[in-house]
Amino acid sequence: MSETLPSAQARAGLDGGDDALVRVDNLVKYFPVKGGGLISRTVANVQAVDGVSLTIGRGQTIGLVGETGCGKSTLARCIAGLIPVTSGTVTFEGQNITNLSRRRMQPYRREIQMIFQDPYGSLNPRRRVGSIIGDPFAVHKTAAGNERKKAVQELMERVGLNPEHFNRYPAEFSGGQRQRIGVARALALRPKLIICDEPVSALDVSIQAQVLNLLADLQQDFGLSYLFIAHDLEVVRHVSNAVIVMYLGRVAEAGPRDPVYDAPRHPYTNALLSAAPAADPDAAAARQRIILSGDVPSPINPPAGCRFHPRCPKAQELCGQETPPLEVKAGDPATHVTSCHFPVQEGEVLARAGRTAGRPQR
Amino acid sequence: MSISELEFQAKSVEDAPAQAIEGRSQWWLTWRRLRRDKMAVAAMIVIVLIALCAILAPVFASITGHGEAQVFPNIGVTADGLPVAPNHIFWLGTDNLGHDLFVRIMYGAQVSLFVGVVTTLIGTAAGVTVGLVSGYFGGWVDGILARIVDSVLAFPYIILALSLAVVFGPSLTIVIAVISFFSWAGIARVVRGQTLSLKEKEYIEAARSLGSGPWRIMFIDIFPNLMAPVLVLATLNIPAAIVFEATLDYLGLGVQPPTASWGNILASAQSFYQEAWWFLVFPAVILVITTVAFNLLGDGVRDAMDPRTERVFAAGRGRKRRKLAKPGGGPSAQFPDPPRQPSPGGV
Amino acid sequence: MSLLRFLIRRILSGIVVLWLVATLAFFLFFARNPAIVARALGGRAATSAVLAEITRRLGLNQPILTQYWHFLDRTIHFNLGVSYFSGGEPVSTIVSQDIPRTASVLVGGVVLWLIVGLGVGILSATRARSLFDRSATVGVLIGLSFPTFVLGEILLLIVYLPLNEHGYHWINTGYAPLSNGFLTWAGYMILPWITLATVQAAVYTRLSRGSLLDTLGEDYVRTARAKGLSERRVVYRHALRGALTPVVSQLGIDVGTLLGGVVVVENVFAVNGLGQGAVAAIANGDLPTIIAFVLIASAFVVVANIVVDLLYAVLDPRVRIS
Repeated sequence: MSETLPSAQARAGLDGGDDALVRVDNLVKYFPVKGGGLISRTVANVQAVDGVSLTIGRGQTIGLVGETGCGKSTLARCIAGLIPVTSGTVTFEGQNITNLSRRRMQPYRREIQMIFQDPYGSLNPRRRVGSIIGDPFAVHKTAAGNERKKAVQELMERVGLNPEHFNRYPAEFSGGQRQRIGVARALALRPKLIICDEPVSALDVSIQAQVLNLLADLQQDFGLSYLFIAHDLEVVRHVSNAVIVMYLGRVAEAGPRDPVYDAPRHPYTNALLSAAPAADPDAAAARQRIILSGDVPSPINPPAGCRFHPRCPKAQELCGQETPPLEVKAGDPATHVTSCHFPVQEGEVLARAGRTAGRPQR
Repeated sequence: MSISELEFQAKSVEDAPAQAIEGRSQWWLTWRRLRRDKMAVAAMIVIVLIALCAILAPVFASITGHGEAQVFPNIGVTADGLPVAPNHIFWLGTDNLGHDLFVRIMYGAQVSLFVGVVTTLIGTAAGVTVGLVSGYFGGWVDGILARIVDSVLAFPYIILALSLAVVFGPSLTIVIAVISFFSWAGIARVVRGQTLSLKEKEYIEAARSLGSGPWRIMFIDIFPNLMAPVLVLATLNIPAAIVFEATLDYLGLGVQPPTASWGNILASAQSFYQEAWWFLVFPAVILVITTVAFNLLGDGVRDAMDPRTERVFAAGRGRKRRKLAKPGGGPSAQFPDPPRQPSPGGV
Repeated sequence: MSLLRFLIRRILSGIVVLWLVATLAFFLFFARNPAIVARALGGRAATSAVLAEITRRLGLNQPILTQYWHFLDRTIHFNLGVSYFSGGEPVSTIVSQDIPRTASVLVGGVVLWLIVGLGVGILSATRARSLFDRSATVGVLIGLSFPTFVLGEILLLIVYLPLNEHGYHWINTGYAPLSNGFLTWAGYMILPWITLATVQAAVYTRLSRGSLLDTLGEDYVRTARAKGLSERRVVYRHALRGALTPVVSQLGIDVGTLLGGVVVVENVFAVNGLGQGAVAAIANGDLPTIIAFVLIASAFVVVANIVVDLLYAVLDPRVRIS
């Protein structure tokens, strides 16, 4: 990172108050790229996450969207403590849980759980479903024997599975049912936060609704918070209280759901929203698509300044020189922040990229 | 049927009370496939028979009235000091010292099977553990362990066996030690390879996110996915161990007479094959039959576990098997050949 | 990185390994009380005069590093000491008599096994599921299951014996040097070769068959066929190269097995080569000879590994870069 961000970094997400469940401060995660030569050295870094701060409040659902490679999955795993953090902090209920040893992290694992994207890969094919769901009880030694079996069956029932099937193998369930198994496993120890890493992306649309409804019910019953990662904006709109849009390791825009969806300020957000399929064919035809030129640049060598500027229809020279701060733009509610020098104004129509777009700066 | 009838049918199936159905485990399916493989079944029968021979050796000894180490210098040896041909007293003839060859062969089965099974158990347990640790932890642990495994695999076993025999004197213990030492390395290498790829799976990440420790993950999450190739390797390790043991005995480094083992019987037989073919042929035949049986069983287990391998001799009524072209009877990606353990049975 | 540089690197590391082994052997055997060392070297029957001679000749009372230096010096000049068991004969003489015998067995055996193993394997793969293939599979199974020494003895019984009894004396046990004529030499060696080769051939048949079948399923082979190349060209010029790499890497591992096999075969056929010599030396407690055999065995393993690595690098150019 060559430029420093302004010190008063605005926070993404709602509830900046002190009783936030999770706070992430300036999280940076680089993956070293080992180079050749006799001794392998680090020749470059994949800048997966480059300074993200966010807050997750109790009982809230924060949606996290972005293209593939924007770092949302990496960010989620950093929060869950699955991969070590290069710099920055993750705080849970006031406690710093960044880069804790496995033993010290253990109690927090009961509070932070994860649901994975691939219903076929996230369950061990050689274990019975009852054993998979009962794993948290076994690991944290909270229930054993018949007590565990009862708890497992209760969980299965709660997520909509037949409790009589606990001796079956995952292969005998459909994709949607497997995700339910994953949900049951995550729910076992009554966590406070569940990180959902694209939980419905691999499911048929009709099943998606079922699983989303299940998640909503559980949130109500158990007071869960969700960090909901997806690339489908409509799904995120449906479930989230607040939305964070990421691009190439940084936050492009964030805020409560309605302001972001109704009045997106960042050109990237606009482009995403314009590309989302609309249910009404006439509205879809009438909508102007913003087509971004080029591919997502490599996170090993990201563009200088605003990372989006090479593809941005509104980019100017300043964009390639200075990183725009994440701040509230004129006319927006206090919790709606954007990182852009030339945010999209109300009623503005973004030109297609390539005509009046600024040249990419390096 | 009308739509509503279909819907009704569907709903009633959904609502039908479901039993607690036991999942069909892979073992059950494997066993079923194995049962249908005629060669494997034949092999199993042979193995059981040989095991019976081993167990009943004392019974045979008492039936014939000839002990394992009992010599019969008068009726068991010819006037020229040569073994006696098979007759009604000595069913398979005698050896050059006048032992009853049949009884000794039965006792020899004890040694072979015992060594085969014990060394396989030890080697498998050690190999799986080392492979798991090496593959899962990676880093310098893997670096060291992998080097050790490679060195063991490449090491000429003969030097080790000879040296141990010199220092400690030849014995069964030496044989078991040497064979186990070389068995575990082959299994460790395969297990390590599989572990390396398995640990990237998402369900392992899920286990970590639950707070599972590395040992729990290795043995409860990863190991069940390894059991298939490990079982195949272990089964194929037994005949290798048996041959290895026989060879060590033959060289005089293992079980010493008067204890009978197929290897040391054959060692003595070498000098008399001209005059006493039975002395050589009978122990040789039973040794080869045992080895062939275990090899067939191992191949059968491998084919039963990996139903995609298209067998060269396809069982079943000549149904054309249009599976993925992976002609079986050989190693596949999931079931690699055991890295040639330096079992001298090979050479 | 060219092939030559690769070769040089390998040779250098081989020399290092040999040096390590020699050092290890030295410290294992010599780094003790001189009296004990003298006793060990002289064998059980050594008189005090002999022991004094040993102590003097090898300078056992000198500081250990001086001895080490002399040891290295001697070894490089192929002076491996004296075998006190056989009455003071220099070990190098004993060994050099044995080497051509063992070499004969080895070379012929390896050649035979490679030809048969690869040949049958390739033919099986190209004629998968034919009668040839099925027979080969049965043959492989049997070959795998035969312990070497058993095969050797059986061959003696059913080949050598009947032939000899009927007056055909071409096949013999023991050894005749190549200088006696190729056919004579081969007559002595043919049975050891077959014995040594059979089991390994079985392994390599299966290995090469499987590997070639895998390779034939690859896309680049499909492309070659689609280009209209004859099947023979496809197999031998394109597929074979990739298919042989697992075979070559297996060769590296099998060097150790090979040594054991040689010992067994020599024992069965009374060839009196290095293998038998080693067994006898151990039985007699002839330490200088044992040390010599260990060094020779290690040298062989190192050289064989270099050759195998070279083969691998020829087949797979990626290896040279690493």
